Amino acid sequence: MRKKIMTFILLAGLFVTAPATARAESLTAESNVSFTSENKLAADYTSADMNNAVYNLQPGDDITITLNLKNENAMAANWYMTNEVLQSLEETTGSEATGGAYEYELAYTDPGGAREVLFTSDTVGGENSGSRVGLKAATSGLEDFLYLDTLSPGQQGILTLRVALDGETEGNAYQNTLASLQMNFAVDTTTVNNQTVTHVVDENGDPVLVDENGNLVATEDSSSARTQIVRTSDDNNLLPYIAAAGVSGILLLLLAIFGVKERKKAKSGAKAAALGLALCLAWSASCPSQAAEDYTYTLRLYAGAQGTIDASVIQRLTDTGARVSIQGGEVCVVSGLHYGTEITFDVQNGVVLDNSSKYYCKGFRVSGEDNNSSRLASPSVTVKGDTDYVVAYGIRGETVPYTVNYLDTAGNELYPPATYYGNVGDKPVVAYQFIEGWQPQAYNLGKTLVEDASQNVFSFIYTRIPTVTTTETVVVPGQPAAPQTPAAQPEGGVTVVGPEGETEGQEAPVEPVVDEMEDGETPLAPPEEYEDLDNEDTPLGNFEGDGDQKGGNDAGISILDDIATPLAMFPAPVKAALAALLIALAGAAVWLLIIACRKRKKDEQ
Amino acid sequence: MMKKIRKIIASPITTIAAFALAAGLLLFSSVGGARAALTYFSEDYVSNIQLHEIDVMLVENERQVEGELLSGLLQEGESLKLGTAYRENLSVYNSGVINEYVRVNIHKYWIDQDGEKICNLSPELIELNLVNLGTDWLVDEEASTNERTVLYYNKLLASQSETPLFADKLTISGDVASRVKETRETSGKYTTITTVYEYDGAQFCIEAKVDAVQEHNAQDAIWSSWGRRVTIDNGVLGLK
Repeated sequence: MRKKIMTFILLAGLFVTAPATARAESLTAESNVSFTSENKLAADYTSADMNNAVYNLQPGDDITITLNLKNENAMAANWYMTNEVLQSLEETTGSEATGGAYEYELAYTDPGGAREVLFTSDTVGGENSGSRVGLKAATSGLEDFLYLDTLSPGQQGILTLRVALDGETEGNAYQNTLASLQMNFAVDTTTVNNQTVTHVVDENGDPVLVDENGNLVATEDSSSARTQIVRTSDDNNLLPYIAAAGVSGILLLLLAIFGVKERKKAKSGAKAAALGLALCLAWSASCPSQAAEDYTYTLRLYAGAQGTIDASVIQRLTDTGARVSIQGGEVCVVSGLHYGTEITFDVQNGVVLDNSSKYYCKGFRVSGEDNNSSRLASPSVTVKGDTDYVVAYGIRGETVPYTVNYLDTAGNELYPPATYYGNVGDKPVVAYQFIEGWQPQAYNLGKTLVEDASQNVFSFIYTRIPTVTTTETVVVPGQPAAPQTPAAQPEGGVTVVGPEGETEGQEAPVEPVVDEMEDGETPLAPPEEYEDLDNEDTPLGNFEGDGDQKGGNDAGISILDDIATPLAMFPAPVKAALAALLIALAGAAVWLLIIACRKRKKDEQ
Repeated sequence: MMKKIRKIIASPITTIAAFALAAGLLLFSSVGGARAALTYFSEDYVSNIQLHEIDVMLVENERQVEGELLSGLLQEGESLKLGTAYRENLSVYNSGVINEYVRVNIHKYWIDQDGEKICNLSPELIELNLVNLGTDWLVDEEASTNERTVLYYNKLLASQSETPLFADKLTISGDVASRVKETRETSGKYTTITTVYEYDGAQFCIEAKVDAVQEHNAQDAIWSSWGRRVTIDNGVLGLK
């Protein structure tokens, strides 16, 4: 008897599986950011606090970061923020992570409890070929300062950022990966610039101007102040400096021209220099044939966590003796399979997803193996043993652009449009741009993105801010009472009341008279903090001018408006610079004309 | 004096300097008003999200192994004896950073000298003695066949820790020697009897594959990744 049997092999396959989920384990982190009485933005969080929370994350988990924004300053303060993804998990050095999706939601709750979602999407990242990888797709429109709220002293707002890692799509490749998120805050105390102008009058109601000591200085000219929207620009009054620079520039320009002229007297050729300035600005073995009939195999195809399965999933089966059964829509069991049987699965037809599912069926894989595309099984399977398969799901990142316009009521562009990117179904919120002298219909706009990029338009419509003058009358004591201000007069000197209503020394009785609008303008309602464009009947993307407001179709007026509107949007310094430039160009033109005339005259002689 | 001043003004250097200054001042006057100025800024609020490594190892006779195993089953020159139980302690070690749930897929089969699978030889004659069943390891009866056994460790396996054994002996049944095929051929007065051992030239294979799934959301994660519905109650895994 020959005992020529048995060598032995023990093969150990070591496979690791990363997971999927529908119910997340939620982690939280909370900190305070305060605008202190010392005019500082102080936070009480430490990196260690944050790291303890976020380092426990696993696919399928989510983390909610809560930041309490407190105004501990004596002044009302405008709060702004930016949110940026410095690095997404997919960008970890040496990592091949790809195709994973995230949920991302940034929301602000004001002191009154009203919650505004600044950005929300449950399909950030996914299988996306866009330039913004993974989490970075979430913050496309959040990287510039976004207005949050104006908090009065003692008030508190709450900012929440929730990031969820999709378990279905983040597989083994996401091990040892790292992402970094960053938020910054800024405040501005120059909130509302209502100024009060105090008219000091004598007994006859005639305006007088007094100094700090109450001495009469001169007859007062009426002046005005205006109400402004939140101003984020420099609060220094640069106009005098800019005007001086402009004037100096013009003088130097004239000096240069004069120099050229003088030099031309000695030699010719100064034209080029003058024109130069103008331009300057400008893995299987086959079955042995002797395969026995004794042993048959079983293949199972599980639907997994996202869909259900039916018999149509079997597209082709070469073993007529095999049996197919569908068990509760969760698994398709094919038994009685002989070695070498060919079986083709059609998961696209045989697996049904809920209509509202964010996933799509992208194939199937050996149970326990990774979900990424490179590990997917071929649709046609050769039976070589008892094997389990699971349907693989993915999330498509359908990135579409969206445009933000800054227009006036006539549809004229006041500020260059911005283009950002998001997934179809996302609802980003975009922030307005500060344009001096103009007020938008809302500080933030929100809209759900659709496949048609032409409909993904956010338009801020700006209206010019009317000028408001608040007049108060103060009567100089010791003089006959002014007819419109019969209040009792205190003794002592009177000081001119400052713009913030502060006085030094003893105050004179003050009687607000009226708020006057220049040129009969009506006061503007303040902008909405948030406008949901999904609720509008007519999209603003194809904005058409307001004919009534602009006086119909008068072509002449329209042309003038087209020129005047962009000019009007410029801040005063720019206007001054433009004026200086125009003057310089005009001077140069006159000078050239004179030269030409002289030359002609000389030639004639 | 005036003549001297005129000469200085008329010099090319003065002219160029005047143009340069004029351009600089005019440009300053136009950009000055465009400066954005939020007054007070916070420090950067940076939050990191890190996913750690999940990993698992098969442990054979107290040794973590990868690839082909049983290298220490027989001494050099020693032959395998049918019916003899050899020591084969098998367990699972969590070599990853996070806690995990694990399962083991064991396949037993025969192959010929060319490495092709022999389907008519019984895998049952390859006897891997499973232990700690019911207490630590659960057999998935639905998924198990003569060739395949699926075991689930019913507890959470902490990082850098090892499960109790799921197997301790390996025996190739003595029945292998009794599986003979006899053929008789008569030629005149003589009958030739040929006995062929069915397992002649066959090799046995045991394949073990270990899967691991993260601790968080494990019930759903197992469903999604392995396709199997399980229950997890206070960290104890059960099969539905």
